[in-house]
This record gives sequence, C-alpha cells and structure tokens, in this order.
Amino acid sequence: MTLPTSAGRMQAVGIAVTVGLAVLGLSMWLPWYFPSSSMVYKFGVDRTLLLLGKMAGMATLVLVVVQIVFMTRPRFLERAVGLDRLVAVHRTNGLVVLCLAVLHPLLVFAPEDIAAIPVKVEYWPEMLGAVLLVSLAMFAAVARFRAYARIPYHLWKAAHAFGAVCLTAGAFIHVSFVTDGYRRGLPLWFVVVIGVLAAVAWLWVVLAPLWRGRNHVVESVDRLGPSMVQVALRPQGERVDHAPGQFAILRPRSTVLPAEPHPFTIASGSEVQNLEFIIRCCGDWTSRVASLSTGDSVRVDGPYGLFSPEAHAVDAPLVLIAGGVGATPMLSMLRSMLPEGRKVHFIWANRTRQDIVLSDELATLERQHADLRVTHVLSRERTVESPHQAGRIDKPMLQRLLGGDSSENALYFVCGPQSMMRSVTRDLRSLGVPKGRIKTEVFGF
Amino acid sequence: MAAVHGAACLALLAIDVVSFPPWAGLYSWWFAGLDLFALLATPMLLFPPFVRAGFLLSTVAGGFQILAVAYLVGHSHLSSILVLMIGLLAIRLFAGWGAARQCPPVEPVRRCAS
Repeated sequence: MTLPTSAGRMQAVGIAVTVGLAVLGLSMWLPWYFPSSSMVYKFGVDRTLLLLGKMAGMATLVLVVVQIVFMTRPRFLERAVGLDRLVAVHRTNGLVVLCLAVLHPLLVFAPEDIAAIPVKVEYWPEMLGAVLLVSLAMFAAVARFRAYARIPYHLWKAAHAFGAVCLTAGAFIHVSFVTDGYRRGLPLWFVVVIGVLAAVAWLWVVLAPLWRGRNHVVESVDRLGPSMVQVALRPQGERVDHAPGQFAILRPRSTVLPAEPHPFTIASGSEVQNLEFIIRCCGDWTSRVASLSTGDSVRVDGPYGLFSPEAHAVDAPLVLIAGGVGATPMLSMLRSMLPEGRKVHFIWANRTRQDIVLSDELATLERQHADLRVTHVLSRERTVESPHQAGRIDKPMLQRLLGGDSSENALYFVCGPQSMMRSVTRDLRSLGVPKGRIKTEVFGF
Repeated sequence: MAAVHGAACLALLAIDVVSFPPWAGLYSWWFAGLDLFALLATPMLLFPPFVRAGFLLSTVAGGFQILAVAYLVGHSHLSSILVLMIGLLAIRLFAGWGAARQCPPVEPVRRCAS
C-alpha cells in the first residue's frame, strides 16, 4: 500500500482548510450583506453586537455540519492526517461549536433588555434555541467527560449519533424561523445546501458500516500470555492492502462477541496474506476475544492511519519505542521492512519478562538482520542481562541507548500508554530530536 | 451530599420562582428551568454508577446559571437576591463535587488496545 507523500498530504489539508474557511466566511458574510429586519433599527455598537451574534450563530451551524462531515471519514482527509487526528479535530471543533453557540445569544441579546422579552408562542424559535444550547452543552460535556462519568462507550456512541442528528435538525429549524433573513435568495439557498449536505453526511455515517470493510474469517486464536491474544484473519476475497503500522476496525459476526466496531493495529507484515492482531484483554469486549473460534466471520474496515515509515519519504534509521501492547505497529514494521536492510533500533518497555510476547520471533529477527537492535526495558525487574535495561524509559536511559542514533537524523516512532508517549516525546525533544522526527499515534476512540 | 445538593436546588428553585417567575419573561427560564433540571439530576447522586454523570449534568446547568446571573449583573446591578443565588449555586456545585469525589474509583468500562 502506498501512503501519500508529505507534499500530497499538505495539499489535501490545504484544500480542505481553504474550502472550510470559504464556506465559513460565506456563512458569516450573509448576515452582514443580507441584514434581517431586526438589524434595521439597530445602529452603532448595538448593530455591531447583533451582527457579531448572528455571525457566531451561522458559524456554529456550519461547524456543526463540518462535525458530521468529519465523521464520514472522508478518504482524502483520512489519508492526509490520519483517522486519530481527524477524531482529535472533531473533538476540538466540538468545543469551538459550543463556545460559538454560547456567544451567539449573549451577543444577539446584548443590545436588548433581555429581561423584558415576554413568554409568547411567537418566540418559539428563541425557546428552541435555548433548549438547543443547553442540550448542546450537555452533549459536549458528556462527550468530553464520558470516561469520568463512567458512561459505557456503546451507550454513549448511540446517544451521540442520535443527539447529533436532533441537534443539527433543531439548529436548522431555529435558523430558518428565528429570523426573516434566511427565507429568500442566497441565504435560503445556503441554508438548504448545507442542510442537504448534513443530511447526506449523516445518512452516510449511519449506513456506511453496511458496505464498509471486507469479509474475513478467523484462521487462528492464540494466547500469547496471561492477557494477550493473537488473532489471525484470512481474507474471503481481496486482501486488505496495508502499510506497516496502520490499523483496522474489526467488527466480528460471532455469537460470543457483540458486533461492535473496535480498532486494532495490524501486527502482521504488509506482504503476508493473513492479517494478524495482537490484542490485550483489558476490557469487557477484549476479554472475550479469546472466545472467537476458527471460522468465525469478521468484517475488517481499513486500513487507517499514518503511523508508518512509509508515510515519510526519508531513508533514515528508525528508532521504534514501544510500551506494552503499543509494540504491535512496531512488530508490523519489523516484519515488513527488515529485508530492506534499514538500520532499526527497537526499544520495548514492559513490566516484567513474562510480559514480553513473541520474544523468540524477535530474537530470530535480530540474529538474521545485523542492522536490527532490540532492547527490552523492564520496569519491575531489578536485574536484566545487558544490553537490556531495568527501570523506566527516561532521558538518561534514552541518551545511553540511542548513542549516535539521534545525531543521524533518525525517525522516531513512539507508541504506548499516553503518559509514556508524552514523557518519551519530551525526553527526545530535550535530547535535541526535532519535533517533526517524532511520530506518535493517539489510539483511542 | 446528595441531600445538601437537593436542598440547595429546592431553595434556589423557590427563590427563582418568586424573584424571576418563569411566566414573566423568557430570560427567567434560565433560573427556575435549570434549577428544575439540577433537581432532577439529584437522585443520580444517590447511586454510585450515576454519581459522576449527575454531577456533570448539575455542573452544566450551574455553569449556564452563573452565566445568566453574570449577564443580569452586567445589565442591572448586584442585588442581595443575586448574592444569595450565587451562594446557593456554589453550595450546590460543591455538594455535587463532594458526592462525585466520594464515589469509589472503578475500572473503566471499555478500552480498546492492541
């Protein structure tokens, strides 16, 4: 699989940002160029505040539509920034939407004596707007603090999808009836077009799982340790062409596992026919993965992600730093790239010796390839054989292990628990590694 | 803590209905309406699996009420009623936070890892 080059990715991001800003600019220009009747009697600061409020409202509407468009996982954007960053943008954009939505009534009502607005049926669009604002805040708070509030992922996801369509539909009704500025001409067309876009995007989000992905069957399920399972999947047709380090979304069709989509990194090499996944059993779903049987059907959607040396067109040495099960993309890289004879240093942090899986395969690879160095770092072992290390990966250890690697402009791939990725990235930066040379992937939805 | 939260909600609701009757203007809905919302979230503080979700809902309602009070203060003046409301809001938020803090930590329901 060929991943787009940096220039191609920048071009795609540039196009997306330009189109987004153009649509956003148009939406904010409309209230100014086509003023509603409520603006006719406003002058000076009052008019400016009202106009800014209306602009904030329109920007909110457009960004809500952008949120839904992001969730269709547009292929060109996914290949440009990676699915994990697309989700990160979706989250950040959600907060921007909330801020603009709060700002909208504050600015619109700033020139008014707000306490004097009576309760009348004719103000139903304003009441709807208030309900939407409170609902949006709840919606955003639950999405942001889902883990804190201990809301099960599958319940939240269903509610999030349903809530999104309700809020978006409500927002379009509010815009259409709260002012007379969008009932004719260009403003009407604008609202209709982005409304249709939102509806199509939402339908795509809901219906795409029906045709997305390729059918596979379980070839084997092997326990690699007390909490690790390796699942091999055989394609039922065309194989998933992936680059090392990419991930796929699995949706099993089995009686032992709910058919929920779950993302997992592909651990197999990019040339082999079967797909292999190494899964840590740490949740209610993953704990049951070992119950899959040979012949069970699994739908594989992917590949996704840019956490791959193939996404970076530089023939530099590789330093792969993994924590625990974060080693799966590294395994795929090692299995795929070693024939090229590239200099690779794999540093793998685990708690104990027992946590190291596939140690025989790693040792074989290291024997067969003079350019590969494997260093195990064990945080809960007091003594380890050289060149392996006891303790946690920190700056002095990295300095000791990397030696000349950092001066050779190596590419650093870091994957593991978020706290570990943060600290390793910080330590690498303090050792003088440029930010652009450190690649990480936020792996959690 | 749930009882304190509920009592603060009831007191706020009573004050808001008297001071800002919901039938008098749309703006008043930000007070009594959200008090009612926070009151409905109070039972969640009694059940450990829902304590944090209850606190979250109560906090969002409180956040809007603080914004509404600030907006009112900006447009008129700081009356003793508004000071009382801010005090009760603070008690309500503190009680919710206290209830959520007492909630024992549990393993996350689901994580995906590979």
